[in-house]
Amino acid sequence: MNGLKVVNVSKRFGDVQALKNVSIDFNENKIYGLLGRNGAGKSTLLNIITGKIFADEGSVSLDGECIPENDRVLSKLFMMGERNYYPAGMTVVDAFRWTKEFYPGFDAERAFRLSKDFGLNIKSKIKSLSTGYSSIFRLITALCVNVPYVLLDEPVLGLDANHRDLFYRILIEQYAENPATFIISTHLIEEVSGIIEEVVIIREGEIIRNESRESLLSKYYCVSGRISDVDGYIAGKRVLASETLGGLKTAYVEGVPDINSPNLEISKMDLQKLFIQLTNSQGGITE
Amino acid sequence: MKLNVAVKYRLYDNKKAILIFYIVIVSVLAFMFLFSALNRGNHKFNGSIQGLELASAIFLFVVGLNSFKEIFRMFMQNGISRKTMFLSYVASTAAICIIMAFIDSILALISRSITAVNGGIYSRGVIEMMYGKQVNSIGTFLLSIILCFFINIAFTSLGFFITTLYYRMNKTQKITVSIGVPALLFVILPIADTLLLNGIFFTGLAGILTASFRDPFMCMLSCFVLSGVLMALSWMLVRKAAVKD
Repeated sequence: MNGLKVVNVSKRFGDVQALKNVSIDFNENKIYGLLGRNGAGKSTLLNIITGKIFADEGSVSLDGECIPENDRVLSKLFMMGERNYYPAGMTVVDAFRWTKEFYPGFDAERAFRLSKDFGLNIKSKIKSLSTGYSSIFRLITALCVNVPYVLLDEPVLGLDANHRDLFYRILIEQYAENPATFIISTHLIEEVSGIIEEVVIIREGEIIRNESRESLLSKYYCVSGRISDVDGYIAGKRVLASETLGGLKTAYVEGVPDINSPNLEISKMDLQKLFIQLTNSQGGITE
Repeated sequence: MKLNVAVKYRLYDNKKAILIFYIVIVSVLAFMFLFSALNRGNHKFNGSIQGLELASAIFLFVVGLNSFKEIFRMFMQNGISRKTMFLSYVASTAAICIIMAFIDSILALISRSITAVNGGIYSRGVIEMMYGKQVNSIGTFLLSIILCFFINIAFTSLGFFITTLYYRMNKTQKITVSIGVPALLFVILPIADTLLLNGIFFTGLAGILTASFRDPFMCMLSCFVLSGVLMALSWMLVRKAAVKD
């Protein structure tokens, strides 16, 4: 069975239940957005998948083989974490050299080329890199490692707008030329919404949405107008949330919009708005 | 395949420290011989080099102490399992210990040969220091190498065990062990032994230690058993270790 399979995974850190019975499949050659608020359990899930930490319960497998303590399966995965796990005294060029040893498919020439594009000095020691360049170094490594599953945890942490734009362009180029599964965990939902195909939303350790971006966004829409008009419109409909500002009200509604509503403005829902409504503390559908 | 790369990485990681260590050792020896040669006939200058090989054992203890956290994170980043990581530690430690035992025995032999000609400095290797056996044949030279190898392995294993134990402990446990173990060994046990057991415990312990190291072969066996126990305990700590931020 192909793909990355997470089955009934739970993890607790002291009093905090980081993951609750999480089950999810990540299929081949797709770009996933793993979205969640701070502390939702995104990094914990990625760390369990790559064997950095152990789940209390449940299992993780890749192409039918259990991942933890399996070198052959681990060589099909690469995770760019929020933290730098390379030795502090190692230079960027040495890190690339060793990555090539551990992952023979690593494209060192491309890594040098991308370093030049990003302005990363490959002779620098990793410990001397700024937060942004430390992220760039790990990003370049992840983009050149050429494995079937690449997990990116907060990949654009500390990157300026130009570098973020460059990263997204390179990622799309890479995906077009050499498809692989990318799982991107990020807070910058607006920026990645155009890239990701599949959306996985995690809230308080539980997966609350797992479907294609198109399918998810097509289920909701926004309706705005005077309070009384909006209240009249949403009566009897499934409402995700609503906001009032002065005399105007915006409601986020599930279903198909009624186009015969002359006093109301109906618009598509964007991923960030939907995410906020689904993951805020009072999130949930009301009728 | 992954094991080969992991061993290669560990050897690369230790290469620089070992090189610096031998530069220091050779420089100290060269300085002593030069000083001794310049002061030949001056009876006020008398030096001794004893158990040179033990410097390597202490160095390897420190290497053992530094052989976990950074490499564990590097290997976890690069898809190396804990099992392969541990096997690479055993393989690289064996290789480093045998190479250093060989170099040390050669250095001790050279040191002894020079001092025999030069005078002023008295030199003897670890096997002569501990068991009075002069390295004057291929047999004793090989025995010296093997003895040093087992001593080196035991010291490295002790360092590695301590570092993995501390890695797995939380802050309170670290403080408890850091204070509790020295207090137990150097305060509580001696007092309890003197007051309650009339010194039987430490007399018995001294007897066991003497028996364990009474000749080179017993020393090798004791170091082998100690290393085996420490490595087994280390593996139990490593196999469930999680990456800490």
